[in-house]
Amino acid sequence: MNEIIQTTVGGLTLGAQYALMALGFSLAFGILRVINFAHGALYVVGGYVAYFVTGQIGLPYVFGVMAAVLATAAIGYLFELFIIERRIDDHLATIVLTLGLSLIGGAAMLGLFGPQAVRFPPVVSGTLQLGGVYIPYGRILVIVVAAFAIAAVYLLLYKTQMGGALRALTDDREMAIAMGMRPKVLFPLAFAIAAGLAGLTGALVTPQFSLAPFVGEHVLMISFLAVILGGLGSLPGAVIASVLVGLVESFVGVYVGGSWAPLILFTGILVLLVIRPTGILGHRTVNA
Amino acid sequence: MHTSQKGGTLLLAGSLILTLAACGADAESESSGGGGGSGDCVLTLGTLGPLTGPAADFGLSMEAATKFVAWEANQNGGLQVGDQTCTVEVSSYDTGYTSAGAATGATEFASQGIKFVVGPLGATELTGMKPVAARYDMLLDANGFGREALEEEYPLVFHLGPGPFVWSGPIIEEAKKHFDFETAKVIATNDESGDDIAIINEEKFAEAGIDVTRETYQRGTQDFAPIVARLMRGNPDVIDFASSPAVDAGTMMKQLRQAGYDGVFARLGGESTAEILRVAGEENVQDFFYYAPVDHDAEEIVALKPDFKEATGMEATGISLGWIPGARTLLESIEEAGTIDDTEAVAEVMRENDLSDPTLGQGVWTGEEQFGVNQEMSWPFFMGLIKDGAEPTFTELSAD
Repeated sequence: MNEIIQTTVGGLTLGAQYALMALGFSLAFGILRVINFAHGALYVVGGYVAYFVTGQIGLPYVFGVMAAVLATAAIGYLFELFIIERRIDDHLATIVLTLGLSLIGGAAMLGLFGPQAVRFPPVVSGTLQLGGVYIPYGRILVIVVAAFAIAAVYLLLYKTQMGGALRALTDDREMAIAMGMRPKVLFPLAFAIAAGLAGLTGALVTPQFSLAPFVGEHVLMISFLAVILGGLGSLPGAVIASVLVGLVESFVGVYVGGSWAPLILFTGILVLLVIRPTGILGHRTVNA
Repeated sequence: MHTSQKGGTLLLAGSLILTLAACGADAESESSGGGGGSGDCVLTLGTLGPLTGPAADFGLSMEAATKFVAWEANQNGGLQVGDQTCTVEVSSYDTGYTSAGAATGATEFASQGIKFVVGPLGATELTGMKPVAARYDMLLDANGFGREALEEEYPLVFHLGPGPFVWSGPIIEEAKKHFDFETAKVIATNDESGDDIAIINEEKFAEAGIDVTRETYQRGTQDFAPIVARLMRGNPDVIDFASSPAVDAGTMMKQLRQAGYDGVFARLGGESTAEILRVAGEENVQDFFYYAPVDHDAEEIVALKPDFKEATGMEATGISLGWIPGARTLLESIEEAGTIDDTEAVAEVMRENDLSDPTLGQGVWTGEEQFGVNQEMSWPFFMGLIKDGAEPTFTELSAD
C-alpha cells in the first residue's frame, strides 16, 4: 500500500513540476498564439542566473530566484517588442525566431559556463517522511510555487483589466485595437510574464536535478506535450494534462519499467487525440 | 508597408544565420591538415565524442587526452615521420553521443583528409562510425564497451581496453571485502551503449553470487523519481549505474538519497567520478566503488597532471589519463611506419607495439577471448573506493 501511495505522490509532484514548466509555454501560446521554442532555453537561462547569483556571487537563494525571473522576463520583453511583434501574425516566422533564440540561449550558456553540469545544490534539502512515503522538501516547494503561479496567472487573465484586454486582443485583434487596447504594450508584457515563468521554473527545479546547457530540451518537450494534450491555449487543460503525464510516468516507471514509460505515455496521448483532437479542455474553432 | 516587410525579412534572415551559427558551434575544427606550423608537415588527428550533453565529460576527457598527446609530441620537437618533422594538430567533432553523430563525424573527418582518429568512446558511436571509417580507410583508436567493439571485418579498428568483460568481476570481488552486499540492481540507458555494459555487469554480479536485476531508462530523462522508486523496490544493497551518463548517475544518486536509500553505489562503467560528485553532491556519495583506469595517487600520474593542465586547460580525469597511452601508441606507430597517409602500414606496426607507456607502465594486447580480434590495448585497472565519505583510494586489480 505504501508503494502505491508513494507512486501516487511521486506522480502528483512530477505533475505539479510539469505544470509549472508548461505554464509559461501555455501562456505564450494562449495569448500571443506563439509556439515558443525558446521556452526550454529560458528555463536554462533562469537556472544559470540563479546559480550565478547564489553560487558565484554568494547572495541568498531568494535573490537568485528573483534575478532569474527578472533576467528572463527582460529577455522575453525585449525579444517580443523588437522581434516577435514585427512578425506576430506569421506563425512560421515566430517558430523560427523563437527557435533561433533557443539556440542562441543554449550556445551562450555553453560559452559562458561550459558544457559540463555545474554544482548547484538544492538550497531546500531534506525529506518529509510520512510513514513509508518520502517527499523531498524541494519538491514541496515546487508544488507550492506551482500552485501560486497557476493561481496568479489565472487571476491575471480572468480577474484583471489587463487580462481582459489580452484575451480580447487574442480573440479579435483589430476590434480590440479599435476599442483602444494597445498590443504593443500588452503583448511584450505577456511574453515577459511567460518568459519569467520559464526562468522561475529553471531557478527552482534545476537544483533538484542538474544544470547544464542541454537540460531545456526535456522541459520544452514536456511543455509542448502538456499544451497539446490539455488543449491548445487552455491553462486549466495544461495543468490537468501535466498531472496526468506525471501520474502515467510514475505508475509505468515503477510498475512496468523506466523504458516503457515514454511508449505507453505517447500511445495513450495518440489514442486520446484521435478520440478528442482538441485535447482535454480545448475547443473546436468554427470560422464565421 | 514595403519597408516593414523588408525589415521583417532581414530579421528572419538574421535569425536564421544566428541559428545556423549556433548549430555549427558544436563542430570545432582546428585544422584540416596541410601545411603550417613549425614542422615540415602537419598531422591532424581527429577526435570525436560527446562534447556537449549529459555524457560530455566522457568526450571532453578524451578530447583533452588527444590534445595533450599532440602537445607532448610538439613539445618534443614534432613527430619524426620518415624524413619529415610533423606538427601534430587536433580536429574535434561533437557526436552528441549518437551513432548518426559519429557517422557524420567520420564523413566530416574524411572531408578534412583526416586518416587517424582517437575515438569514438561509446558503443553506439563505434557501431555507427565503423562502416563509414572503413570506407575512407581511417584508423580508429577507439573505446566503447560494446560486445562487438572489435570485429574481424574492421582490421583498422583498435580498442583501448580492457572493458567490463575483464574488470567488472574482479572489482565486484574486491568490493565485497569492503561492503557487505547480497543484492544488487544495475541501471543503464535502454540503448546499445547502456545495454552492452549493463548486461555484462549483471552477469558478473550473478557470477559473484549476488542476487541481481537489471533496469533500464530512456536516455534524456531528467527527473528520475519513478526510476528511483522502482530501483528502491526490494531495497538492494548495491545500485550500479554501469555506463549511464555522469549527469544521469549523479542525479539518480541525489534523488535516491532524498528518497531514503542508504545502500552502496557502484559505477562499473566509464569513469566520471568528478562529474558525478559535482552533480550528486559529495554528501550523497558516501559509499561508492567504481572502475578506475588509473590510480590518481600514483607518482607518475601526480607528476603528469600539471603538464596536462597546462596543455589542455582541463584537470585530468580518469578517462583522459586512461586514453593517453592509447593515443601515444598511435603516434609512436605513425612515426615508426614513416607515413601519415597509409593507415594499413601504421596498423601493421601498431599490432607489434610493446605497449610500454611511461605513465601507465606495461600494457598487453587482449581482445582475442572476447572479440576474436587481438587488437585491444590493455593496461592495469583499478577499483576506486569512497567509504564513509572519505577521500577515494585505489586498488590495482588484474583479470585473474
